[in-house]
Amino acid sequence: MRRAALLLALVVLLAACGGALATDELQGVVVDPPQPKPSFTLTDTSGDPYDFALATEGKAALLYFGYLNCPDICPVHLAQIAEVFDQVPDVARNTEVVFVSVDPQRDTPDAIREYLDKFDSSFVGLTGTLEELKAAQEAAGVPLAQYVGDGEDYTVDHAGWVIAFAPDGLNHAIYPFGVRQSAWLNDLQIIATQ
Amino acid sequence: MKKPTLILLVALVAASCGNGSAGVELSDARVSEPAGPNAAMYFKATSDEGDRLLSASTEEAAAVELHETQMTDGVMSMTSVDSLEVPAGGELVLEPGGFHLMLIDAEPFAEGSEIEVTLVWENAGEQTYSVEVVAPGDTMEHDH
Repeated sequence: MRRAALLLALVVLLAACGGALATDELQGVVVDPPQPKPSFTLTDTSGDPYDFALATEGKAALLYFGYLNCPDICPVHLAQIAEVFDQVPDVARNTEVVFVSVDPQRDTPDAIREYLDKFDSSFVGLTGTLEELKAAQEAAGVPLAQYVGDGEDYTVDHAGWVIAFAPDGLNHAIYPFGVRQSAWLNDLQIIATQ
Repeated sequence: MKKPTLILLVALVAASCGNGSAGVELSDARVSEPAGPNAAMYFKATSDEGDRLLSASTEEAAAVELHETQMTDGVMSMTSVDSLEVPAGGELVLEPGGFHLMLIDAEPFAEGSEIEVTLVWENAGEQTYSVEVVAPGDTMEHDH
């Protein structure tokens, strides 16, 4: 009994000393040790350069690589995050959602803007040349998007997870597809406001 | 006492007859309002005898394809499949991250409306369903 109590005290102490972010309360896939924010510059939907590290400095950031022709999982991620934004204005205020289209051939800046506005008009949409997109994916540590099929009907194999950065500039967790809404609600409040 | 029993009996017979004709029962049918060029449709299907979905069509899209999303080491890929099987006495589930119907070049139908989609089954033949349009991406089964 004494040993158990001692262990509990140790755990509580460690949790208290472990820094601002309560990663043990996160339901996403915790990245340990946390990874630094990647540095890359792409073009936003207004045509302006967007330096990811600079633009999201001091804020939480959710980075996702996808494409507009993807009707299945991309919209689900974005809808789930948008729902948390609607529920918790503090999360919305402190979090930058950055959607990078890896399909520059089909996804024009206007089309990306229109797409993201279906979820939340604050979501940032980025595009670039294939070379620039490759550099961004490498910097973010995701597998490079693969273009599969011929003609106009090709599909794009791409990383299915959202990369979450806290305001401390570190990636503390990732969110594969299938995360429940309650987990998003829990985690985004921790990541964005602690 | 006799009359209510008779009414109950008639009701039971009517209920059992109503089920049999289609052969495939659809539930939780939903299609997302298109955010991009395409929309995805999901449902659950059951059949006592078993059946196979061969194709689908709607006036609200240029084409409808049967698709499967697969995840390999977290990387998502999408492939088309020839048909989808409803096992006899079992359930075919179309859900995000798995099987879905992809409505290609979808019309801008809006959340809250309904669209008609025709499914062609190997045994049950052509069946047209009225499908609820949900918000873009609001296609997961809710946990709250």
